[in-house]
Amino acid sequence: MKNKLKVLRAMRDWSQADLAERLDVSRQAVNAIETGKHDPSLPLAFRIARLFEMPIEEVFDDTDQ
Amino acid sequence: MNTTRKHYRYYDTLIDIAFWSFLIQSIIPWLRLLGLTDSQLHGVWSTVSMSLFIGTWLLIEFLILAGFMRDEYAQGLWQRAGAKIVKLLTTALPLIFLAAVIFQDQIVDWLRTQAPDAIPSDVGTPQEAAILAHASGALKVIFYTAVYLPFVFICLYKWQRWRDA
Repeated sequence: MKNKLKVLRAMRDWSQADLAERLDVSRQAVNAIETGKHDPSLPLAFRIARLFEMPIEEVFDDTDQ
Repeated sequence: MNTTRKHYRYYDTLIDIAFWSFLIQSIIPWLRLLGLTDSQLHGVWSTVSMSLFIGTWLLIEFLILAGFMRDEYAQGLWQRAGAKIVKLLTTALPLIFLAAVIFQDQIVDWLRTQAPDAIPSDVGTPQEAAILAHASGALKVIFYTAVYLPFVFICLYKWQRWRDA
């Protein structure tokens, strides 16, 4: 699933480790989500959307699924 | 900072430690075989190698069971590695069993000549010898599976993580 995590993170000048800390996951998890290797669970996807104060569908795009 | 967050960090670090420790302890016997270690140090190397082996095995057993240390991505890697282990076992074990049945006579003959201690000389019939060989073989398969499967698991886990990165 495509997502804007990397862009959103860069806009805030956060490293993967910073974002991982805020989301309460490992840095590897953030990297895997950013590269599309891991689709986050629904609770984590909501946490991400809430953190960036955006609707979940603006962060994640499942149109190619 | 809550404690679960720390656990996630430690899990990946411990996985790396277990993996490299396994590699190092695997190399030591090869160094000895190749004569690259001082013969006077063989005892030391054996102790180091065995300590590393047991320590790493215990660490991996803990990491496999420690679900509380995994975040959802690590849990996903754990499940993917586990799925591969299941596939490996469901194909490899029946194949080993089939090979043992097909080559029963050859195995018994080989054990009699190459590993005479495996079959006591006072075993009566060839059938009894075959049963003993099978029982001994089955125990060895169980032993080596129990000892090495955790290492296979950690290699598969690392492989999946490396591929994702």
